[in-house]
Amino acid sequence: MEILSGTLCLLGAFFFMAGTVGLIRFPDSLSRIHALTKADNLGLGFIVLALVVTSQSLTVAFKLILIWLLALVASSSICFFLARKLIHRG
Amino acid sequence: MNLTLLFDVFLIAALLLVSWRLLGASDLFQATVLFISFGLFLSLAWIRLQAPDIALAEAAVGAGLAGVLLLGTFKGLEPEEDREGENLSSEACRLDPISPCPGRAHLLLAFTFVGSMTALLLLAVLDLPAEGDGLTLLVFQSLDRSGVEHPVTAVLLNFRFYDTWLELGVLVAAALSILCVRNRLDLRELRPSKVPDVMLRRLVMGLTPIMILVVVYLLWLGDHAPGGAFQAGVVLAAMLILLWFSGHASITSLSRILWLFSLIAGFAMMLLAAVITASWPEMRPLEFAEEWSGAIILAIEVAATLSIGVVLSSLAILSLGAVED
Repeated sequence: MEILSGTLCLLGAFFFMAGTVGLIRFPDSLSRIHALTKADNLGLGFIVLALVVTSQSLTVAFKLILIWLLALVASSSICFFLARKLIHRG
Repeated sequence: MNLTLLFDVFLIAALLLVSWRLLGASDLFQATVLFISFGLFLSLAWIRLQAPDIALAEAAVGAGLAGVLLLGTFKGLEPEEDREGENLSSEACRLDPISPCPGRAHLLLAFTFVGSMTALLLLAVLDLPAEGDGLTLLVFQSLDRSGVEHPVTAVLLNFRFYDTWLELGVLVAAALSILCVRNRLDLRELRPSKVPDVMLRRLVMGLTPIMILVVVYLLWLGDHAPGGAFQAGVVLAAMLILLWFSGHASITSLSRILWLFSLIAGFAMMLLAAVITASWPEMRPLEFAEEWSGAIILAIEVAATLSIGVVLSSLAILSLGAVED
């Protein structure tokens, strides 16, 4: 169980790292948003999964998954708002 | 070298770096964003110091709400920028120590003030006894007489009641002074500067029930765990601002009397508690009878949450809103 959770954590960290590299390296704002939201959502998903695997009770696991879903909704909406603002600006 | 120490060192380095960049930032927008990230790092630091109550408050007020207010102020500066042209605007938004605006004397004054405050703080820290927990033991000994189970709530709403009372007074004063500055009597007719769109409306509509749930949960949590009126109030404020921003009914649609009532509810409730305890024959002022203290604290917390939410959202709406002509 611990090995599984450790691996998932590392995978999550890898996606976060990829997202951050994208944020720093990509040329324009739209692709930066793309890198950040997509990769970080996946990274957060893996870390939540790692915590779910080690969590003691079902309620904790359920709460963790709820947190992830909420973060997904928030980040994709914010991504949409930012991107639309950028496109309208031209 | 263990991992937590490494993390702490990184955290302190990040705090120092962000504050340095913040002070040296050349434009106000960058400085605002850095200030928000400084608040987030600071709340992480509070968590490392095992003060989750302060961490929650710092993240919500220091990073969230102060960020919104600063961004609102920044937006308020923007239109003038356009009118004055590019060159002037970058000058006006510059926080440059060499520019004539602050002046050498001002800088010297600021440095003297900050320096002496730092020296005083250092002296105060050095003056603390190296061992011992201060008043912690006393708080835990009297906890079962306070009416709540969480020591922080017990201190805030029972042992050091008047501190919290005055804090709420400060909030009311802040709301009144911003009303004076904006030359208004209430929030009615204030609209967001842009027409809200469908996507935002739907998102906020979906999030509102969750936020109400979080407000009630945080309020209830204050009895026995980190949480309580301030945290719940800030979430309530965020909800009211979002509702307003997305074009739903929010505090701007309240009647003036109702709005004023919720503005002062917390302060008034505490004043009432103070008057009742002061006029009760066998009680000292602000001393709650043991069997009543739980109920009194709950009533005050509910009123305080309402007031904090309304005051903070009013501040944001007053600084962000525009009157439609």
